[in-house]
Amino acid sequence: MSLANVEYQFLCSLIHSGNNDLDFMSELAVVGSLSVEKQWSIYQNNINGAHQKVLAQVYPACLNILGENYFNQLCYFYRCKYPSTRPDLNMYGEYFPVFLQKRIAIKAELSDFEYLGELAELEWYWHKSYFSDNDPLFDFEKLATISVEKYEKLSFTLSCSLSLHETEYPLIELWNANSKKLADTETFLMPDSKQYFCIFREKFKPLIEMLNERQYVCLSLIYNKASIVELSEAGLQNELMSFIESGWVTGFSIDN
Amino acid sequence: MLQQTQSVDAQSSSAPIAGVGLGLRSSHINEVLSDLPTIPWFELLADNHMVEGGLIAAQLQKIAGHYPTTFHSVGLSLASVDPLDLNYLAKLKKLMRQHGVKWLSEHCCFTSVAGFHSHDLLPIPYTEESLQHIARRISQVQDFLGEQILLENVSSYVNFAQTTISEVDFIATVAEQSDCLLLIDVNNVYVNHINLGTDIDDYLAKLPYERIKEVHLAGFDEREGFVLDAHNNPVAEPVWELYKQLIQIIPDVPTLIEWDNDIPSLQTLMAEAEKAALIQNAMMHKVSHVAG
Repeated sequence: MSLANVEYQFLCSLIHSGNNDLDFMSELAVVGSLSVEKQWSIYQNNINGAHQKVLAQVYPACLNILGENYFNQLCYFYRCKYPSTRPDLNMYGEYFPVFLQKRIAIKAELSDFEYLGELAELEWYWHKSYFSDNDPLFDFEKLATISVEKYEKLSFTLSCSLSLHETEYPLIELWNANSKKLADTETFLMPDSKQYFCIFREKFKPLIEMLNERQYVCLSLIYNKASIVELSEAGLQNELMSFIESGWVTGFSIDN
Repeated sequence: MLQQTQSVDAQSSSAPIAGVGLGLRSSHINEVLSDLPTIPWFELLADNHMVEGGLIAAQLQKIAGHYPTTFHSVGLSLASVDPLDLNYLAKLKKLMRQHGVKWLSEHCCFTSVAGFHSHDLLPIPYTEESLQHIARRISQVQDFLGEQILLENVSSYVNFAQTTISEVDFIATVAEQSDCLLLIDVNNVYVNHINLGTDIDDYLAKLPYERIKEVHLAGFDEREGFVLDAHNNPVAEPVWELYKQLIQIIPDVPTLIEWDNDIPSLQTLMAEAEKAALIQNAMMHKVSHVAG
């Protein structure tokens, strides 16, 4: 077997254990007390352990809610469905919220956990915010040089650590309690109305901040590259200014 | 006092890599940055620091600004048949230049293929095809970085039927063909001896010592029927013995203590480093005595 085939069979056997094991194992020979199955299983265990560890670190609240056994089973199915395609292990859990949403839709045992996809999303963005790039300082001097005629094309950039969220669940309470493993006996009431919040990083620390509807709308418009004219027409200029001051809006561009 | 026997001036990032350093993991970074202990050098897992913002980037800047620092990576996938990940390599190069990182070491293995990443160090069969392939890839990496890298022998738990070359012959020839340097992990040599029956005497006899620029020491975990290179224990006695044999020949080659799981206190790691430093110093003394 060529090197390319050996590598492919080896990796596939580990990602989708059971599919290609026999092909790969035929490349191995018994040595000492290590059978070929044992040789292969050492790698399988290493990979299971490493991937579970990463997902447990990124999704502590989901882990607490689902319990270790079920969570570890999900980790296995997640790896089969979304094998890692990036060298950065910190990004491995990127699709876990989507995976959970799909799983909730088809698995009866998860029918009481409808909120779990959104909770996982919160945990993912919290994690991602920690690893995001630093933002540039807002260049007020350069902004002052932009002529009024160009305002229709002037839009703004959000901090690269910032993500926007809306939910009908008591998500932050659930997250706070479960990521600290406090939630076993707590009951959470559904909020009366939709909740809006954003996740961002202040210097080194990810934070969550609740938003009112106007703030959420304004940030959504900025995210979607609305111009300063559109923001003014929506009466959101004060919100824009406060976001620039708070560092949530970090730059601007002229759309050509 | 810990580390007293190490004569290297640690408190300058421009000092050469010498003596016994530590693999610095995130759980100890705050302590190191606040106490600035006397440790000759640190090796950082490059993959954990390839971010351009936040705490991790700031920590790298401070560590590399204070201590001589090297990079150890796990994501280059040197033996993979996939094209080299030039984005990854460019990030590595940028960080190395930016922080004055002294050198980069990588493993003689693959971690990814067909675009999928295992995040584990997967061995390859030692054949002529593999040899030519990895030597070419290392040359490519070195051309890109503009410097030699260190190739590390890996622990392995699989015995490929098609292997035709011993591990030591394989890495020695790869090093010669690609003109790379070597990082010899003594624990890995021992683990492979126990698990795969690697002949240690043959290994020590055939190593190209002039290419060895770094030595790793770590602890293994005893499992049922094999030993696991888990980096979760103190260096085992047989590994110390093997280290003594190696360091007798290359006493001035920098050594590093690696500990990645069940990580103990910094003091425990420094005590392990002290033990290695005592051996190193004794061997250096012996060599200079003989030479004198």
